[in-house]
Amino acid sequence: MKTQTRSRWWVVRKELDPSQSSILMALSFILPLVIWSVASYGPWWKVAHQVTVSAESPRLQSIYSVGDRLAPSVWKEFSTAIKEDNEEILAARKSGQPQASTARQNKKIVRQIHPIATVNGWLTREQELADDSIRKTWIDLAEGKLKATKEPLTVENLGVVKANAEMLTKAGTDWPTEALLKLLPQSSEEVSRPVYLVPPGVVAVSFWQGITATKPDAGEAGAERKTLLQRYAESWRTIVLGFLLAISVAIPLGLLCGTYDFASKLAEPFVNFFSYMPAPAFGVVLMAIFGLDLGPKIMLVFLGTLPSAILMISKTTRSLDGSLLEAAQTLGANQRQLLTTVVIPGVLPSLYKDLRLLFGTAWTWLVIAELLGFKSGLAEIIDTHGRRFQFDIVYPAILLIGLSGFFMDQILAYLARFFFPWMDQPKKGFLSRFFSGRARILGPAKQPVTSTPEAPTASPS
Amino acid sequence: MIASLSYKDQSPAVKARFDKLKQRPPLLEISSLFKIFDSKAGEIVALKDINLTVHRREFMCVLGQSGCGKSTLIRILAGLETPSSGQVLVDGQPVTGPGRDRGMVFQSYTLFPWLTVKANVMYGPRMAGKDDFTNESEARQWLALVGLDKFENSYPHQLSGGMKQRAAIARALANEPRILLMDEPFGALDPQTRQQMQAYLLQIWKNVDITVFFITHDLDEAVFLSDRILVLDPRPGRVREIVEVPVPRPRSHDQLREPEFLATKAHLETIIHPEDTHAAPVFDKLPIGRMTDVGDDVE
Repeated sequence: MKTQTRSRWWVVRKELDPSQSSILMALSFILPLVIWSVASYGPWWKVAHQVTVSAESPRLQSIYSVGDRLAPSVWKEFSTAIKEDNEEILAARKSGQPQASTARQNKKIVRQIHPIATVNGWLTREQELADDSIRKTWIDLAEGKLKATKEPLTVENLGVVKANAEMLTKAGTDWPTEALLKLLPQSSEEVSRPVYLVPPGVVAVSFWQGITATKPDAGEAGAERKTLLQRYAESWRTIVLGFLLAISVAIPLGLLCGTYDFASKLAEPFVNFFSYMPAPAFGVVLMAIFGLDLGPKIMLVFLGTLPSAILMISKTTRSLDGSLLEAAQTLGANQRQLLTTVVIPGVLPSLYKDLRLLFGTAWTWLVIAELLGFKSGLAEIIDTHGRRFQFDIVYPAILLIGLSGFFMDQILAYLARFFFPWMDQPKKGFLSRFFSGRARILGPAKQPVTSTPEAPTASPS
Repeated sequence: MIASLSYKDQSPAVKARFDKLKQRPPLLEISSLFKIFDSKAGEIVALKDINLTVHRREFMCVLGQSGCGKSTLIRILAGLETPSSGQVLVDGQPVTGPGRDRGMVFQSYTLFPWLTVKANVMYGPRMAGKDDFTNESEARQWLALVGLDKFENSYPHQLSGGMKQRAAIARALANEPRILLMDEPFGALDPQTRQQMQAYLLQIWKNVDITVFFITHDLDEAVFLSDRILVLDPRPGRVREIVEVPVPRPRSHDQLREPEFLATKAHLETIIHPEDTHAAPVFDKLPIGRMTDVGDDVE
């Protein structure tokens, strides 16, 4: 028989080597990233032409406007049609019998420059029908007074601009009666992913820009402008205040319920019932009571966390080894001493673990909470930009919440070993793995501090 | 020679010792004790009419199969459960609840994991309001007695099973109880550690003014430790016999093969027999072929 030296990966209920574990733990993050990347960069998303300069032609069945995404074949048909239109106009002009046109038709042609002019800042969005301003833009552009900074016109189109500007100047204040040339369609090439599928690269860049931004971003009109980090701080304030409030009620209540059957029977049935009513349903009530600012947000986190916290803590307290209580009784502890010297110290590590879990769930209440009243924090970003389908801004905000919850939990888990040196703690999780090397260098855990005896009672002398 | 010796034959020295012992004042008196549990299946009589007197400084073991009410009895003595009827007197005082006069050592190590070994030993006196200064120096002495003085600042999870149980004994003794109740304290230990702990316990018992009431299901342990053995019958739990152990003191594990020891053990075996005789496997009627090619010559 051969001895098995090769380490195996699939064994029922058996822990893997540290090296194997590390590989898998890294993979558990890498795999989703790979799936995301494959999904967004994969070859199945066709390139599409997103129209930036449009035109109309009787040769075409439909009208394409700026922002439309066209398949390559449609795009080709579109461009050739307009080109042919222009060639016809030029040919007619050459033959000395130029195509006649009404002022209305020409205005329509001239207005096609408006979208690209807005992008470049030559015109405002509202000047869509301000023909005189648009006309001036054509002439200024032809004279070189305006330069494209964001979205340039093609050389061909600049030619069209010059030719048309010449005719417009010739006509003076009137509109030319001769047909003007049409601007040739322009487009940017876009991969036609669904709008919600933002590639990881874009999200990463947007995330980095978000957290390094020093100037406030453009929020909703009228809303306060803040940077991503300022909003993040707001979120932390809401969640921490709500959570602290909740546990300052839940810990005493939970301990009481877990220790005394009286408290348990009196409080737990209702708390249990209350926990089935979704906290967000009380949002409106909370706004009516606490106004529209920070109050209802904190209270929603409070209300969402409280019932489950009470139930969880009382359950944890009940799970304390009963033989410890019996041992304390045979050693002469009275009822009050049982609570203060056995129940409370005995339950602390599990209580700490509960609080970690509860803080994790508090993040789920946060997003709903922040939408109550005046929107605030990260949820404001998610909501306002989400409504505009700007998912490249939405995802970094969601990511920030996830990372905060995750790292908070890992750090708290790591700190537990310092709070409870008397626990036999397995090295689990990421941070403890990460720091275990360092801890060894720093030397073994310090000699545990014995419970400090109170000062000996002064002898009556 | 062995066959001719009865467990009732006591050497003159042992007989003299028993006479002396019986003249000491009774420390624990149990009279007509009943314990009845109500369950869905009806009433279960756990203990039926137990009468017993344990003298001061006596070492008493309780033997019996599982279900004979050993644990119920010791929990009633500790005050953790109340009897259905009957009375328990410790030093003449009726037992009404847990108290400092009865120290208890459980089978599961019930040291407080958040306290160091020393703080565990200091727990009882501290609850009684003893000042920490004397408490601490006394705790050190108790730890020295059980050989744990080097581990006073360790936490329980850093100790082995035997060390934990020694710390638990020190913790119980620190309260200076009249009687030490031990509920299968060495049941979870391996045989070697167990023997060591038994010797330790006898040493402690010799040096401290304490009466021991010890529950076990191990015959060797009972014979090795006790002056008298209370044998309980199961369902309902009642006194079968109280055996006076004829093995002379001081005891050592070398005595395990001596005639008095073997005779006592043999007698205990005859009165404690497991009920489920029908569970013996019948190998001759095995429906499957025996999967061995060495045949029957293994014996």
